Amino acid sequence: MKRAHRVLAILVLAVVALGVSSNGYTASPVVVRFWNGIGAPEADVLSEFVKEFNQKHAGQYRIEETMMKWDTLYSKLLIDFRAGNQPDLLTFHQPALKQYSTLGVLQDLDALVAKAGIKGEDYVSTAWSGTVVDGKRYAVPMDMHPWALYYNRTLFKEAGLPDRGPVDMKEFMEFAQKLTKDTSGDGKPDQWGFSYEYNGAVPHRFLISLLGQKGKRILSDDNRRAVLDTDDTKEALQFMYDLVYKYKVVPERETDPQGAFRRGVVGMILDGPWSIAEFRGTAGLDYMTSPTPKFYGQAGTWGSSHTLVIPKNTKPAVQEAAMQFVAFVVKEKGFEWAQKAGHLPIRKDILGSAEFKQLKESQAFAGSLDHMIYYPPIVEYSRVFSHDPSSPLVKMTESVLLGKTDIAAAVKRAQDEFNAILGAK
Amino acid sequence: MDGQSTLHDGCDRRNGTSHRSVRRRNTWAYVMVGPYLVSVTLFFVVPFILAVPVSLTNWSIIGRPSFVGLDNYIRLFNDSSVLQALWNTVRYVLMQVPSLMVIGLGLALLLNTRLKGRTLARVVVVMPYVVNVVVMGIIWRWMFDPNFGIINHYLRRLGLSGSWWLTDTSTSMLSIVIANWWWSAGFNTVVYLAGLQGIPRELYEAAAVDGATGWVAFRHVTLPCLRPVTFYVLLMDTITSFQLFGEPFVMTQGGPLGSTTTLTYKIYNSAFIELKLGYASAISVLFLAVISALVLLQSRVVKSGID
Repeated sequence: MKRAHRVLAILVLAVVALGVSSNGYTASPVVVRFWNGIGAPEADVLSEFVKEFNQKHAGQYRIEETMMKWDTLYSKLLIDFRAGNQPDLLTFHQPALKQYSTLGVLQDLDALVAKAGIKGEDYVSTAWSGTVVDGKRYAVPMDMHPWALYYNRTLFKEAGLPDRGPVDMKEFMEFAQKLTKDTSGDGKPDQWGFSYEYNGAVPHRFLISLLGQKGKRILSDDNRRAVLDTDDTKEALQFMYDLVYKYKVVPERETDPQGAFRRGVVGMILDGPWSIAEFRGTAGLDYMTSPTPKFYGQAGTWGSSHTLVIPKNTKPAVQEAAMQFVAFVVKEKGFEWAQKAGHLPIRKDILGSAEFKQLKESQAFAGSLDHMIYYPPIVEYSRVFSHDPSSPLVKMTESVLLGKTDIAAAVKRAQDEFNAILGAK
Repeated sequence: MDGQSTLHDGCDRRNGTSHRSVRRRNTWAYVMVGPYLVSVTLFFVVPFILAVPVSLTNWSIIGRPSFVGLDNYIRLFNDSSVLQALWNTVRYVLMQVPSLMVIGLGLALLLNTRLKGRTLARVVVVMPYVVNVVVMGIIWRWMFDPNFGIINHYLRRLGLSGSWWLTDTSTSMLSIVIANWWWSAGFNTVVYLAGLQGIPRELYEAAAVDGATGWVAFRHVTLPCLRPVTFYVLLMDTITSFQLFGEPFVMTQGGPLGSTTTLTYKIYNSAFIELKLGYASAISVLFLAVISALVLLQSRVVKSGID
């Protein structure tokens, strides 16, 4: 018995050891470990690009893709970088570039980009220059995603509204009020004109858009100081509050406006082009997009970019292979990325092409490119512009939208906390 | 416990275990447990010991840590968000653990009777437990949606006004507790069911001879025999409840206004969002101190009950 056990144990260990060693096997092509943080369903489109690239360059390059959530991607990158086990290429958000390049995690890509024949003049300048931090290029933009207004055509028709979104504050309020209805007759509305989340990052994106329309920013021009305790911020927050509690055209404490929009109980939402792919697949939803209304003086809407970055310390041959894939995605796949994933192309010739003009839902986003507002570039990006409850902006908007704090006190506290973070470098 | 009530507890587990095979079994047991012990040491014990020196530094993961002495600990006790997280965690444990134990035992008792469709019922009770936390979180977030969720929909049909559930600071944690009744009561049920089936039938027969059936038998045979199982369930539930993270991460992102930010969430947040590894380690050390003190206290109290 005893011997039999020992033999069995050795066998088990041997099998485990074999399993481990087989992972060390490497093939001849240059392997690029790629982290894809893009959410579903667009992530699959990027995976298709990976497959196509691998087939095209079989034997020469191989992209090994790992899909993960954005949160995981950012935290895992730091740990794996520290352990010397970082990926060779990964998807990234434009606003995170300042923080991660300052930490010294990202490779300066100027030389690699030039070598791969990616030329800045072919791309929309906001996106191209938005990926340069302190004079160095740390990323290649894949797309841009400004907000625009999605509207439900069926509900618009029922309410006797035109087949377009509202253009200014007056029209927006008129449309929103006409769309808000009590269809069941219980005295409470069960259809709303507009919706946005009370929690997370969306409220401060909305606020940044509204302030941008007033020609204001939430930071000083040198990005060193928070400028929140102003009449403009208070007015914009009051408007956001009133939509819910005074005009009652937004459901109270909404957490899933996209879901409500898909079910046809909300007439309008502000959202990025990433939702196109999902809305398109929703049966019975007849929707269209329209530029973000001008609530205040000028056009302006929050937005961001997906980019591709290469961490430092990757071998030159691997870096070049990674850049070949980047070039493939941005030079050859821009249109497909727009068509299948809904993200806005940034190559000027694609934006101007008849083919792209056919993508009706994308046009409102394309029209917003020149007045899109990025988050201000700060090293403390993740502590402020996140959905986390510890962000001073999240605390400010949540406490106002839950009716727990009055607006004047909330903006003052947020400004103090924001400044403490900016000063505590 | 006095001698009188010991006599009343009909559960005596001193049975003759054969000592001959114990040593051989032990060797084999070490082989089986070995890999687990190695991984626990490597990925839990060692990192934890390392957390103590790290807690005395400022460190952003990248770059060199700089020594700051006890600064992190001093800041900790003045940081209202850490104290809020500690309170949230304790509040959650106090709500979750007793309720989960009662539900687990109740379901186990029900499933231990000769009920029609018992096997199916057992499967159904355990099924939610195998669901991933993300799936569970998303399902319950939908159900709890104050405007469009199914729970408020039916409450309103019954003429009730419904609740804000996850979107109010006063009900957000309770909502997570309720979701967990569905999600993890199955585990307690299985453990209790095993415990119930391990109670010798003779004890009930003997009790019946003495006229003890129903509640009396439950009180004096079932409950005392389940003591070790109850202790195990209490310990496991307390430890896992203290580590609450996935549910708020998926369902509320720690909100609203930090009302579901637990200590583990705060540690994650400090380490990976704020990139303050030293501070996060200091919270971890505090967390371990709290958890160890409680487990020690708990094991004392319960052990004195078992002996």
